[in-house]
Amino acid sequence: MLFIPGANPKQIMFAATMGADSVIFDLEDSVSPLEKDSARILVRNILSTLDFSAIEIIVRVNSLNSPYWQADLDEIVPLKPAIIMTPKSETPDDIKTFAAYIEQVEEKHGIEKGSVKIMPLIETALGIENAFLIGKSSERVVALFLGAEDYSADLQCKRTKEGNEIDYARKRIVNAARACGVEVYDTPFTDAHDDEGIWADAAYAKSLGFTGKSSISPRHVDAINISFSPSQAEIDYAYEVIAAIAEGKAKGQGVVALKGKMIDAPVVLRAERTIAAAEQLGLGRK
Amino acid sequence: MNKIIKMAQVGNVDQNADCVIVIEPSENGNEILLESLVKAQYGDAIIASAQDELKKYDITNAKLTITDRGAIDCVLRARLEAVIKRGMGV
Repeated sequence: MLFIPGANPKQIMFAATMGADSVIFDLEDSVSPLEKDSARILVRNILSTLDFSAIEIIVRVNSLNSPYWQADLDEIVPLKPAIIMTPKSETPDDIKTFAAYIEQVEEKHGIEKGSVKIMPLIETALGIENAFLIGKSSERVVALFLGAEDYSADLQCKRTKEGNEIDYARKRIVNAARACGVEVYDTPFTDAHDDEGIWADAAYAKSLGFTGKSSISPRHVDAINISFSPSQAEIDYAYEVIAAIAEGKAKGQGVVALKGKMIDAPVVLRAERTIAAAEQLGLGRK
Repeated sequence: MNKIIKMAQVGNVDQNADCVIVIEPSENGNEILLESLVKAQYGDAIIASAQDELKKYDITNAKLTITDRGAIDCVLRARLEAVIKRGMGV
């Protein structure tokens, strides 16, 4: 997931060519209050004119405590973006307020109800504590997203490259999202010039259970894509697991082992998910 | 008929693929001034888009000064819409 500032025409126009699966067109923090109107119109015009069918379109609108969020949704929802990212999401009521307004706009423009999904951006201490309730607050919620810059400011601590200060939030949000049955995305690694640090940060996020990770720099997209894609060894092992299970079933075996290790239900589930992810990414068995 | 009631500006001249547009009230009907590196190739099309956007908002008293840095039509029209609305005080 790549953030693109909503006030920069060139970056918006070329967003689909940066290698990210999803692009977050930002109308919030990267746009000055004086340019909120022009950015909203710019994003609307470019998204409705150029072909972005190769990427998932996400638009970060302004927060409920701003005077801009309704005008943002009025312009953006009719374009049927896949997802609206709702910043400063702290309570289930925040999401219900966004969802109700999105529904109004959908209805006004003859869009099927529920088409536009929501990804709450959780970036405060209260939001983290309410992550499960936020995830359960609307059928539209498809993923939770951790925003570490505002979160660490809310904790009144320094944001560091090591990220110890966000460790609790990362683990809490992953657990909450999985308990809700939705996806979960990690905060950007904000040092755009650190080409080594991104690898460690992405690997750690993956190890915690995040579905993916966002970036504010196109330079980090490859590291994130590679880190979150299954390795060839993982893909090959997944196919071996599925084959062993099929063989065991054919032989009427109750318990199946592969390379001396018992294959139980969680192993099969993980193998199925690995194969599904590999197929989605166009990766095959060697 | 809508009126341009104040001067307004939109766009960033430091960005490629963008344009800066200034709008102000005019007493001589609509006037459009264009500066663009591609004026010879696309000048007529840029002015036609500007006239079209002014017509959309029923504006007849605007002086538009467009400094183009290679904006494509949907960007130009986004900037026109924004500057017209600002000039109208919307």
